[in-house]
Amino acid sequence: MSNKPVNQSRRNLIKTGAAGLGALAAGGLVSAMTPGVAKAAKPVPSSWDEEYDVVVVGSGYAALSAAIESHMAGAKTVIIEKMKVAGGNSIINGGLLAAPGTPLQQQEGIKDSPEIYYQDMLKAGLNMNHAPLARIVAENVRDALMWTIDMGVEYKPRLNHLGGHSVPRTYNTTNSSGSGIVRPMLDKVKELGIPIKTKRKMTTMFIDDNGQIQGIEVRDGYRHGKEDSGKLKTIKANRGVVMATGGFSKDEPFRKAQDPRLGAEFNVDSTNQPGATAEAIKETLRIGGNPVHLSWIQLGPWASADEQGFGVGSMFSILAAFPFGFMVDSDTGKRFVNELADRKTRADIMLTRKRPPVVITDENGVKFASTLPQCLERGVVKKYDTLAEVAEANQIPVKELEATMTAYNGYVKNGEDLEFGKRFREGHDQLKAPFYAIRLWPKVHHCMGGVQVDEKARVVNNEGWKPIKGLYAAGEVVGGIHGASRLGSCAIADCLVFGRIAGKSAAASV
Amino acid sequence: MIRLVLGLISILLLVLVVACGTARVEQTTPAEPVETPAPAVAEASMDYPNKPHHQDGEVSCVDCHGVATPDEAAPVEACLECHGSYEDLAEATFTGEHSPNPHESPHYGNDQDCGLCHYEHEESENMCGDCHEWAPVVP
Repeated sequence: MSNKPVNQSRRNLIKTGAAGLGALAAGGLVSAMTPGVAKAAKPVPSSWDEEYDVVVVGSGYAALSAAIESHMAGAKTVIIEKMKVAGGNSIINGGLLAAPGTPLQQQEGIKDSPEIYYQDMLKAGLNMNHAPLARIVAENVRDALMWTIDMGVEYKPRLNHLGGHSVPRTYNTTNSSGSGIVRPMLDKVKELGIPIKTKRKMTTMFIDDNGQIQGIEVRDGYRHGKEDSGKLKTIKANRGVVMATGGFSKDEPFRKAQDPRLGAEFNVDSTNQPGATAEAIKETLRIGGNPVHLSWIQLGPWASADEQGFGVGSMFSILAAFPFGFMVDSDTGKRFVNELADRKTRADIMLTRKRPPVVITDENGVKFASTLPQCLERGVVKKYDTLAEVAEANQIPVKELEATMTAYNGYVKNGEDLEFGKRFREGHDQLKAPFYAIRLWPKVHHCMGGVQVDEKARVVNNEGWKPIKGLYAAGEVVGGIHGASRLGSCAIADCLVFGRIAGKSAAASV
Repeated sequence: MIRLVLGLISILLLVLVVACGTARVEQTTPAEPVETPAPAVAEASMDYPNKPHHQDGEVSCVDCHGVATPDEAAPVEACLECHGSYEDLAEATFTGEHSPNPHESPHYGNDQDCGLCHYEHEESENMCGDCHEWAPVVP
């Protein structure tokens, strides 16, 4: 009880003492004591193992966009990636990219604009968005989409209408994977001669007395999970460092501290690759970066309860089951949410169910499911001849389930969902046998929170609110753009748009 | 009461002194002699564990690494020289149109470094298993 203040003040004394000693021992660490100046952990080395103009940390959409733009602006650029293969989480994502005013929208006669896009982002984000940044995404994503097409990315010839979007505006790669975008970007990076150094993990940033980032220290030859593996090397960044290190969905202690519902003890899985951890965010915060919305962590409501990660079931739910089917609580047989509501609305209420909810669609619905064969083969989706069989297999009360479908079909017929206001897509018919069903349980998918940046992708120092000189960030590591909830297919948009801005800013050292 | 407190303080002090003394003693104790590591030899293949199919005495360091005392990983070309092209490998591990194929990944394609999964001198890794439950045998 009375021990607490004593311990605390002792700890502070020790802390201050250590910092003071550090500053005395190494003149280069004086900045550690100056408010408003980024905090060095190690003195700037007098000689470096490698030297570039711009060092990009990470190798997903944001990183590759930054590296390409930085190179095009004349900066000698390098990409470092801690995992043994490049692509980050981007290369395993769903490859869905929303943009307004696109050729496909023109073709399909859909009216859209950056303003409507922006308003959709704010609505899903509960107006917590850092609005000027969201506007930049809305206004530049069409260009970014065309940029990927110029790079050789191939998209399906049909738009998707994802939850929370006012209109269909989502492109999807022909292989339904982010690799459909990342691989052409990697080809471009190779063609431009930008080196990608895998198995290199950033450990710390070097900062001079003026608070200017001078470069980074890495573990070269790092093996994920073995924190002392690899040899320490120093890399000078003459113009800047771009943090494009992604989110922390796979960092269980860090994410659980932000949102205790997301602990492993609650059987909450993640869709992310194992490298999606928090150490780069922590380093950026340590040197003076400002944390934004860290506890706003998005769960994917479409994830299958019967496989690991994003798997093949997620795309089935997104493209077929949710738009062309209905979801019921397994215990009641009743619908409980608009199947096309934004992710947060759906996931939060799903987490309060006792058992995985079931989504049911039919032959008409599965026409839109690009991953149906894999889903059936792996038992993620099951086919049933009657609704009674769906009920029996999932222990759903059959009478209630039948009543739910009758009501739902009535809404589809009249074009109005009287219970939850779902907007029915064109081509949505009344459901009839045979049926296809998937069991879902939300998975940790995206971190809305991260570090604060300004319109030029410069990381903002929370002591003095000025940019940290030479430090830029883009992609999921950044917080605020999406507010409380990121709309599906707006992440690639954000990564491409702000990755490009970060690369240009770093190359120009603005 | 005062005596008791004084007594406790003196015990504490004694403990501290003993602790410091012990620490000093430990510091001055000379380190145990360390075994000198064996120097690298030209016929290093003998000293490293190899894959069973490389253990027939036919495969030497030079065959894969190009030099007798390698300090870098063998190039992918060395693997492909005996094991066939990427296309051959993808065909060899094909099990069905909708089944996963480690040599034709929807994410990473079919032109990755063999060393992402296959380690010659230690136990191989199933990189697919980082995200998927699927666990193929990785030789």
